[in-house]
Amino acid sequence: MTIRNMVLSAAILAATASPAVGAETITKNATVAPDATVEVSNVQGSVEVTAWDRNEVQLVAELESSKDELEFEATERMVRIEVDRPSGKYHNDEDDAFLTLHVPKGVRLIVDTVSADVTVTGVRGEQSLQSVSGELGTQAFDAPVNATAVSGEITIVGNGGKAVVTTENVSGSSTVSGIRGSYTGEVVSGEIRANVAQADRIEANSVSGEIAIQAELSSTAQVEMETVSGTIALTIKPPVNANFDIETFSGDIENCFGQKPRDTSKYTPGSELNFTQGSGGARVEIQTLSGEISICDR
Amino acid sequence: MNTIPFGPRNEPDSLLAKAAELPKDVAPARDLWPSIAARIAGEPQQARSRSFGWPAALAAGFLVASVSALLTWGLMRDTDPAQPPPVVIAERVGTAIVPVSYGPNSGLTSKEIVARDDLLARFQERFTELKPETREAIKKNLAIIQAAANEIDAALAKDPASGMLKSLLVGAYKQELQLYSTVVTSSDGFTRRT
Repeated sequence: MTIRNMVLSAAILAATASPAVGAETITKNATVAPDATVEVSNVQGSVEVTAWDRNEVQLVAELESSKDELEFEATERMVRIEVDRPSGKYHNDEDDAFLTLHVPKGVRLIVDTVSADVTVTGVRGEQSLQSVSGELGTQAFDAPVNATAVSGEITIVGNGGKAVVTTENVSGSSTVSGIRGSYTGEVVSGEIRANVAQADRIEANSVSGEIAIQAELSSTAQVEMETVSGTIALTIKPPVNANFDIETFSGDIENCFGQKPRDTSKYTPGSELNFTQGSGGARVEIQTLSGEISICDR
Repeated sequence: MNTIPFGPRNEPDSLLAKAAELPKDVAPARDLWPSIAARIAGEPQQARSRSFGWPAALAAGFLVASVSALLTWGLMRDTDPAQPPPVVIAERVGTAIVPVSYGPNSGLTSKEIVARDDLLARFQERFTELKPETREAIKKNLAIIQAAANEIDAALAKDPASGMLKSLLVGAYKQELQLYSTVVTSSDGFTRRT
């Protein structure tokens, strides 16, 4: 299909998509490539996405507000779904929009919401999920997953695949389990709880939030964690073969491997702890200004 | 690696690493600021586009990445103690939102503050339309970032050469930008219609 035809198809489908009038349910279907991009934007309510074996996107939209308009544009390579609402009218409790989608399992999925919750099941392509205050929940397989929220909770459950998983949150918590390989987590005051198998790379940082990571490190793993005033707890599955570089300006270091931190200067309250556990190989760097750091293997 | 190019925090991390590798006593090959300013100036039009995709998200992500890289280079470069870089302390911008104020030891320049405040202006347009509890959470976390910035600034006064403290400051600044960026890009759907 030429680019011109794709654009034309999108225009035709957009023109034939009926805007919502009053509270109603709208159903749309489009045949797409198995690895098409599906982009969804909603304000409040929910977005539920479930993968299936058909090369087809099916949308069932339930709109409570007569002011909402549903846009549905589709080409073979891309589907764009958006609930449009007049500016300034998007946090009335009675005006939810519920979007239920079925998509091919290999699609690249992009979802943006303001307060709508997002639930994704079975999508194996790349995912980018973002919400201000909605909750985000998905599964990770082998493709990258990026979830960003301000106050919403983030939950990512892996199936043991080697996905690159990233969570970014402000005050909500991020819970990540069952992933393998790479994880990056950032939070301001919320919490990060992650469990990473055969980790090659872990990065986590917070301002005042709590970071708790359980990891099995590969022989060349790189772990970088920092917090200004929060807590960092790193639990490494034995056997532990890693080089540790830990530094604090005025915080505390707790090390169950036995080595004691030393003062970095007689003029400042800082301390540091550098040691090799086992045969080394993996590299662990952790730093804090005034927070608490603990490392352990149990 | 075939990743989606909108993870706004992935880009700064790689840029952070690259910035750390820069020679510490030479000027950068080019001034990053003109391209950042051009992007900022062009964003309102892009955000209103009805075309496929999400240019505002990319632009905001680019902004966070660019500003973070600029800031990182600025903080990590060696400075002449006799001629410290100009330091600007951000002030309140006349709304309910109080952006983070970075103290005299932060090394932030007017360029970094202006870049932040341009993103802040777009954030404020969206902020008033959020749920009250969300607005409260945002205010509370900006206050937390402010407390962290104050704490880091006080520590930098005692140990101005600390790479760890500079890294923590970059992290706090990135968190502030990321907060604004997330709200702006999540609301992208609304701007398309107006």
